[in-house]
Amino acid sequence: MKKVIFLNGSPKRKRAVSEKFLKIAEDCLEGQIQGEKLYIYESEFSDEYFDRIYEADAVVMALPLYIDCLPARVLEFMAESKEYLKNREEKRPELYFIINCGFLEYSQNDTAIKIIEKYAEKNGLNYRGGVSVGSGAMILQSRKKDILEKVLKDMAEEAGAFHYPENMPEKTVRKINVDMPRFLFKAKADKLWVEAGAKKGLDKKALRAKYY
Amino acid sequence: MDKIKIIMISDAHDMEGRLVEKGLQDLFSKDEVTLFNCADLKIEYCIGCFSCRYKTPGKCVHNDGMVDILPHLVASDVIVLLTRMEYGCYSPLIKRILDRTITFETPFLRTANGETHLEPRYPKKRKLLTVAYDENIDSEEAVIFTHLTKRNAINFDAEWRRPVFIREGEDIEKKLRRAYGDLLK
Repeated sequence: MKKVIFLNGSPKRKRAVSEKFLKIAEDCLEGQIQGEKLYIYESEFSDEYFDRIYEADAVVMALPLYIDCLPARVLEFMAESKEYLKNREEKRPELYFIINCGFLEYSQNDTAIKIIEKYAEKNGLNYRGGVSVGSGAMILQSRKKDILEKVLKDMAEEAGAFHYPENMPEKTVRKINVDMPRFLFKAKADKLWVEAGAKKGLDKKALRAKYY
Repeated sequence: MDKIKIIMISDAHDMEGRLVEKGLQDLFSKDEVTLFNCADLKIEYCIGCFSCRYKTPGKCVHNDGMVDILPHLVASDVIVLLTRMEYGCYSPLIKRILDRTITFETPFLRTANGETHLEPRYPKKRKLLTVAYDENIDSEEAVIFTHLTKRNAINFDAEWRRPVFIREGEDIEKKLRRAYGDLLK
């Protein structure tokens, strides 16, 4: 059985959209792999912790886009694991990612994906690509939900298999966002915040207030 | 003419970084510079709670070093970020601060460069200058960082300036002087 680590890199941990996406990948491999889930934002980066991760055959890292790149603690994970990996002579696992941004366009994740690829390259990990999601949680209520589940499962099956599917190009990045014009996405997203503010007694002007 | 208000956020903690930091301070000697070094600051992680968007607009739940940084960021004409290069990205210390600048934006979307982005909470004509240093920065890392800072400039509602890359043994003063000329344009 292949050992697969599911790494949640979101500050929101179990409440994160990343967790939902990771769970879809995890569930489709149930019983077929030896899996373990870890949360970067609640872990101490000890050698034992990195042993658990890098003794696996594959690592699937799920994270949100923060300020156009990776969340700070994920970068810390990468910096600290660099020191650990320098001294590790055994095999290097495959690395897959699931990245999501709250903006409409999945293309906003491209720079962050390059950073993940660079991390893998510099540390000798077997970078295999992943899933790039735009439009955040909104996609789970859209017609694209089924396609998203399909691409997450495709990636998970690749991570869970000892042999890659035939004709599967290496480093495949599956890209998806809701099918919606920008003005409509903006209207829907803005409405959610107006409603959230109203529950706290704040109108649109108050949400735009300058604090400093 | 009023002095240029510069906020400089630096992660320099070793000799290499401190040399560049010193070079920047000399460069801005005639300007009004406020320097924040990560080593002197306690900054919590952004926890993604979005309180700053819909509960207490513009205000974070954490009461830490960001309380000192944010007013200077709001008032600044130029934002300078000095960072060690990590895989084409900022160092984790600088990124902790950047993650917390989400309060700098409202929850609402706008269109910029053909993409959805957040609306600035404190619109002003600022400039963003980034300086990345490391023993060795390869060309791919430089390209990734260049793209990243262009995107960040949109979020800071700032004019982007080409990043400065300083590798070990390079002439810091010469590189920074060129960047200063670029900044004044």
